[in-house]
Amino acid sequence: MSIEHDPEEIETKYLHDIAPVTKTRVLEIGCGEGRLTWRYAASAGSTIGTDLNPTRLSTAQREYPPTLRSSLLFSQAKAETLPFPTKTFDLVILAWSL
Amino acid sequence: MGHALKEIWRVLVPEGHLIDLRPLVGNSLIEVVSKGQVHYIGLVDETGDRPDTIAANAAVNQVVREGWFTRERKEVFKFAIYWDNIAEMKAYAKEKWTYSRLPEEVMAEAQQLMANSEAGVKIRVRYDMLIARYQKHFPTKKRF
Repeated sequence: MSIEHDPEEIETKYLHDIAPVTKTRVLEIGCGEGRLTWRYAASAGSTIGTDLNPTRLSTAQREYPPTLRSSLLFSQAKAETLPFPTKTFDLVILAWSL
Repeated sequence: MGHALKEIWRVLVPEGHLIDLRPLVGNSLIEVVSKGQVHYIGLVDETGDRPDTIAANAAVNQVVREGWFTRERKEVFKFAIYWDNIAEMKAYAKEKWTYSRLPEEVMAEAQQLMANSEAGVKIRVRYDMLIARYQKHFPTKKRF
């Protein structure tokens, strides 16, 4: 399947302009296959991507760049019961999930 | 959704930020793009998605009203997804969309236009995307 998401990179520009990602601890809820995650994770201090769908998470885990392996994790989780301690993250990104 | 926002509030550090990034419904354009020319064909039928969008907006507005978050910034931009052909677009819609529909008459027109276009023609959907930034606060009265 040939599909391109935002080849103009408008989403990336807005995300970097509005989201204080640089060197922060980021939680992305609804990360799916990692499409959005690849666009900012290199700038973040650390990133955890969560999604309910295990198939999409498997794709993300298969495809993520080696350069991010020390700072990026994927985990299956529900937004209503996040498996993280209180006050863990500087930034939460709700991506196509609310 | 209220529970999700409560959990997000919990795991954020004081003065941490939430980014709400999602498509808005009602103005998702179906377009055929060929050699830099854009042909508007019609709209995605998003009637079925409206209740969820209304609920999402209400949930966010409630936590802001109650003082759990303050809205710092809100923008809308166009986000496009491109396919090489209509079959791939329909397969994507079938897999990913819960309620939205590609109107048959719109797709028939798109099919004809693409068949008469030169090589390299693509079909796309352009969404209005909301991106908003909120900061965590501590309301005077806890209501969660």
